[in-house]
Amino acid sequence: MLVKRSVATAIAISVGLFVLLDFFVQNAFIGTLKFVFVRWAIIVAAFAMILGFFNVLIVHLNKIVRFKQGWFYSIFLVLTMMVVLLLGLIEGPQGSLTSRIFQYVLFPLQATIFSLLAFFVASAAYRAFRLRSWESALLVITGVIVLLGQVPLWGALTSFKEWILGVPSMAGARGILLGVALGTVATGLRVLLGIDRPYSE
Amino acid sequence: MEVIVDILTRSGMRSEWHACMLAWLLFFLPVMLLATSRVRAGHAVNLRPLAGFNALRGLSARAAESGQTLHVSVGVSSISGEETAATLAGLTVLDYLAEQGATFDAPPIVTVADPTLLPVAQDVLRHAYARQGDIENYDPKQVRLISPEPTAYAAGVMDVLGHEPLAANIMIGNFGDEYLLMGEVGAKKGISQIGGATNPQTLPFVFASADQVLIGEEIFASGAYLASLPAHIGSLVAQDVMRLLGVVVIVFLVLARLIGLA
Repeated sequence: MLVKRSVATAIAISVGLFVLLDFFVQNAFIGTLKFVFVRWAIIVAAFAMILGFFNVLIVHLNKIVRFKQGWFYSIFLVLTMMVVLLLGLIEGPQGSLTSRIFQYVLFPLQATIFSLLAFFVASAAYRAFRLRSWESALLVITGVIVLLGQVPLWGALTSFKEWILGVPSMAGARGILLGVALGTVATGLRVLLGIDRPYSE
Repeated sequence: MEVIVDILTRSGMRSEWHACMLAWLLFFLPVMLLATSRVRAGHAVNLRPLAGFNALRGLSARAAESGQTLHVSVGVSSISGEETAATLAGLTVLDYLAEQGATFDAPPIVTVADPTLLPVAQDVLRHAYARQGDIENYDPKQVRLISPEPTAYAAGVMDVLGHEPLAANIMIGNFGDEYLLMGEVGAKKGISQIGGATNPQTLPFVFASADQVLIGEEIFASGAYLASLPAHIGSLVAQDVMRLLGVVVIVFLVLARLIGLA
């Protein structure tokens, strides 16, 4: 078990170092090696997609068999999944019928769900803008200024809105991004050193 | 630092910018290793309390008592990509909750957006049960792949939040605007929510819908706060050192520009 784990860790660290090295150094050999590793990663990811397919199938078949809440929709899901899979296998992913399913069914449905965001933003804003503390009060005042600043009625308010977005808001966002960058570097180094092993054994 | 950048640039770096980044990385590494070894040697590090992590403790026990479960999402990104670090932070939280869930026999429902995360999340859950010596109760169906499309993923999670008996909803990782679609359903159902994201544009949505928020880099501190892992505590110390260094460099450059030196 220990040998298996050590080999897996050694492979992961070496591959990670080569890919990282290619990011910094321009070298034909390292570049080719990185290209090979990335191609292998794509193949492994494709196998993960097959696992995912069976996971969706098992979860929803289980729901149908046990008549769990929403089992009826699971029948639709499984049938649709099978139809799209069969079409993809018969005419390929770029086939006319497969493309039409994506263009006229999937994309409009995604747009419909995403359009709900407008209503959800309103209810979330209502909750966030409740005056509970001085921070909430500050949030409400700033929110009102930025909202009114969008209307081209008062030039001073528009300039103030631009200042809020360009100076304090931007400074806050950059502070968060700097912290995230440091956290990302620390996480990456831990994985490269084999301290964190998300790839398990 | 300038000398190191100069040497690195001459030794085949893609650009001066890449040399600068590598120099930064080479400086970060020994600081992190030193801090980790000091933590391992027993040097105490004071971690400021974070309400988000405090709220995570005892969640599984409460869920088990009420006959409910938890929902955990580790974001809409994959295990490989630009947002891997945020996904790994979510997986660290999942590791803690899976362990707790295995102890109290209340395994969380885990939803993933990317197929590459499915075996990883299942493995986290399986390991938690194996550590408890209760592997026969491990159910891989507790981890569900929803969809790699963020909107479709949000729709799937909205269904889980709306119909499963949940004590809490924990969403930590990389999210976009779709966070609000899920967060609002949880908030309207009165489910206790803990959210964490790295994207500054998503954070207002997390703030508006979650009870406890982990802002930006705070999500990377999960290993230090929840499991007291020395390497993770060492990383936090290194991050603070590098941040301080960054602040000093920024202030120095601003002053230099003001007096006409740079």
